[in-house]
Amino acid sequence: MTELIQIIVNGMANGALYALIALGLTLIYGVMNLSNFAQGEFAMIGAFGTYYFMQMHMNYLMAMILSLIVAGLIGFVIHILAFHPLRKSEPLNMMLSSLGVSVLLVNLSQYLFSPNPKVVSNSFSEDSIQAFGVFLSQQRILIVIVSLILCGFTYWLLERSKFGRSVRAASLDPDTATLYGIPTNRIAFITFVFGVALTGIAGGLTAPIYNVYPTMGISLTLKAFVVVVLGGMGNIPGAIMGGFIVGLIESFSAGYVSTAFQDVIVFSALFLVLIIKPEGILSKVQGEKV
Amino acid sequence: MLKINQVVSGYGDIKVLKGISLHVNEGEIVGILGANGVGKTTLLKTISNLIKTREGTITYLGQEIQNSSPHKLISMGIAHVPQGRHIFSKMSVIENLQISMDHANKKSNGKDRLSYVFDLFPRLKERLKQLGGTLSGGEQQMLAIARALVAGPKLILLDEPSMGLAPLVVQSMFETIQQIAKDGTTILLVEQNAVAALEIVQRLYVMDMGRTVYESQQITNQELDKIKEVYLGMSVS
Amino acid sequence: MKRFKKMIFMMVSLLSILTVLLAGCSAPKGASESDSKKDSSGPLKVGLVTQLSGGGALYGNLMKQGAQLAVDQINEKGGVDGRKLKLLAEDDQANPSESVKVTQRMVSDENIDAWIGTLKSSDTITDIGITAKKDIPSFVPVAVADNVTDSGLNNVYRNVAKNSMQITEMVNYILKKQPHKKMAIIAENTDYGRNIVKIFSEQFEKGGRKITNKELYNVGQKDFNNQLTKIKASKPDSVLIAGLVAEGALIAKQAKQLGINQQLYSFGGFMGKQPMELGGSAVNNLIHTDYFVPTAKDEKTQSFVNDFNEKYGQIPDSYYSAATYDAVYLYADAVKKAGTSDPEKVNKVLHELKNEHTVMGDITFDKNGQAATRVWISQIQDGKQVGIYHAE
Repeated sequence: MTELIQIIVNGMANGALYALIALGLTLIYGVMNLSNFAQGEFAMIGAFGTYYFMQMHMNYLMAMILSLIVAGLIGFVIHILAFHPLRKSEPLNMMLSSLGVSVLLVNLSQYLFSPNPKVVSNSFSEDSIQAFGVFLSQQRILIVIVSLILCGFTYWLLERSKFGRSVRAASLDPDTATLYGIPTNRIAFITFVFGVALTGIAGGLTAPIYNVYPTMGISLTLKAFVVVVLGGMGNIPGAIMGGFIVGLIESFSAGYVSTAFQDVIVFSALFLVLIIKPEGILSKVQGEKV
Repeated sequence: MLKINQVVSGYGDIKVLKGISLHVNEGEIVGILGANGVGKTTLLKTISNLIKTREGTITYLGQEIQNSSPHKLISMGIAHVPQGRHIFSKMSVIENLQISMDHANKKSNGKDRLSYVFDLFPRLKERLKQLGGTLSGGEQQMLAIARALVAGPKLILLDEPSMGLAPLVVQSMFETIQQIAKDGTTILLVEQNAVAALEIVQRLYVMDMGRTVYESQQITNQELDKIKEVYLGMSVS
Repeated sequence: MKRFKKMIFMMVSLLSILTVLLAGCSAPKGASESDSKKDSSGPLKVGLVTQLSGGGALYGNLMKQGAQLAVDQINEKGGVDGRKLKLLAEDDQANPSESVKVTQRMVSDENIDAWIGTLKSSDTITDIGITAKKDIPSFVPVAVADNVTDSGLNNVYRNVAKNSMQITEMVNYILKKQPHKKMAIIAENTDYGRNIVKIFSEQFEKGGRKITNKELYNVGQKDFNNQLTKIKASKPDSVLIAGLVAEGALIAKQAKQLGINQQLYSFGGFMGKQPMELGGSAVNNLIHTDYFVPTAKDEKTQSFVNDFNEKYGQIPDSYYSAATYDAVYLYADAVKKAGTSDPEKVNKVLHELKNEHTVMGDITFDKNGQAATRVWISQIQDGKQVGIYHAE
């Protein structure tokens, strides 16, 4: 019983993180039609930022806020250089461009910061909270809380605010959105910066439990794509749900099948979804978004 | 009100509009007729600046607008109802309308415009929370026009409002369009369904190969038959 | 829909390309100037092929420092029969194709007299295939996979215990000195990890003790809660981490956070300072195998540690420098004994060595060139590596 609860807790805790990264990715896909392979690198930037700001004797929270701003600024520059000029060409070109950005950011940070992992420790990161034999580290609790808040905030922003309405309209039909007064280029900019900043926070949040190193973003990108495809490309609630589903599939397949096969099972689930319901499990309206 | 002078535009290397000129006076319903692929939709998109004007000028209320940002036109009073309706399918009816009101010409009163639209299209009022994509074709067209109207425009560019609609629906749609014009909004109507359009337009242009090939100042029955036969390839019995 | 599927397909392919690209993305360096032609009065050229940029550069540089120290010491004393040693160190980026290229260039353009390399067993195996064609004495001081010395080459010498030896030493140590009866293994899903699982379990269970779990994880994984939850549920009294320190330190940390406070064991990956830097208090008391303990009460070790510290200002804390240092000396001494740098004669001398005393232990190469150097059992105690045991 304890094991079952621990498995659920593990799955939810990881799922919250996956949801947060997938949220940024799906938002950017929805508005810009960009499959951003450099998404995970912004988590890396957020994590390195957190590490270096803490080296300057800032507290963890302050360091994380500053590094999310840094991630946003770098995102802004990258958008200008790598994506904005390609906005009218094939989506494939932007995808390739993002691949280049990913390689560039990884190599640049290897050059600047060395490939060796760095340790971030804050006051919560070491201790755990225990109830009925189930353990969850305080840092993971923080991740779950922050991630849920950000998912909720993003959902509210998109569904309830005037800005969110513009973003959704721009994502559904950019030309018509332009006709009705929405500056779609500017919306794409803001969305990109917002999306990578969300991922930057995820990087800062995971730094204390996963350490910080240049290639840390690659597996996050991969995970986020699985989540986004599962939840439906560009589908916000889908990304949030998808994050938790992937987290739970992983923990259950590790717990009840085999740890060696947990990735195999996650990817099998992905292929199954692609075959049966390629528009994503949470999609209601049929048809493609592109 | 709107004056298009020797405008050239197109996609990539292909010129679609090859020096077109026309004008729309305040309060008119002006029709642009022509077969498929002669550049009618391109003309509207060029006016809205979705497609860049390469040569020539577009003047709206005495101001050249061919270089202004496309998202600014709605607040200047030009609303474009695109071909195929292009409502935001995963947003509700009310959200579709709000998008337009968010960026409308701020001077006019939003609530009045909303109730005006609901008077014109009572069906929309019943379906406020429904997703745009789940409406019927006729309702989607209503929503597309309503979305343009709630912005309080002076000029509406209407692209093929009859497309894919049943004849009865088309008829009531065109009656509504006539009503809108009567209420003071100028309309530039692009149509392939010439028969329906001819019923309501006050003036018309016939387009071919990216130019206007015929302009009628006043439509008489005799002229009508000639237009149908010569330019639109319809047999007149 | 078709277009959507195409996009997904493109994405999956791109992801695979990405993975490959990142495995070796920096550009190759230009060839260094070559002074061809072997001559028997010029310097003896020792080629060192290891990773000097990117991920493992830290370890590659430690190898280079050890080799350079030995070369300098030998040259200060007049070289080998009047000939100086010259170290040619080149970067292979821990990339198999680059490693082969660098080795090939050293053999054909530089005419090296001896070869030392690399960080990775798989790269080493392909490289020694090249040096074998010219019978160049080749030393493997760092890579420990068993199959490096299984290829039956006559010119390859490994002056460090191979992987199965450290596993056996660890099992023997636990059976002899530790009470732990139920052990869980968490292993990286590679040949290295799977081999440990296989050999360790066999020998451990032969000793009458029990393995409760064999959980696998992927290299680069960051979250081990799923594996650890499973381990915790089967209530072992100890946990063996069969992986390297990047993941191992996180495993130790996350185990603590899940309330697993059992004794941790691991292998050579936990040598040096890195485990403490990455694992902090979570790795305290962890017991692991080691090939080199700087505090060992051994004359050779102490003079090496002092000389290294004098030259580089730090205590060598893992075997990378020591074993590479030894390799240079093994070669130089063999040339001295043979009285020539002729590969055939030098190889003969090396194969005939008996209990040659080096920093890494007493060296006798078997017919495959494998030496049984000392394997230490070390423990991390309050942020320090302490050698606690070694078999006599």
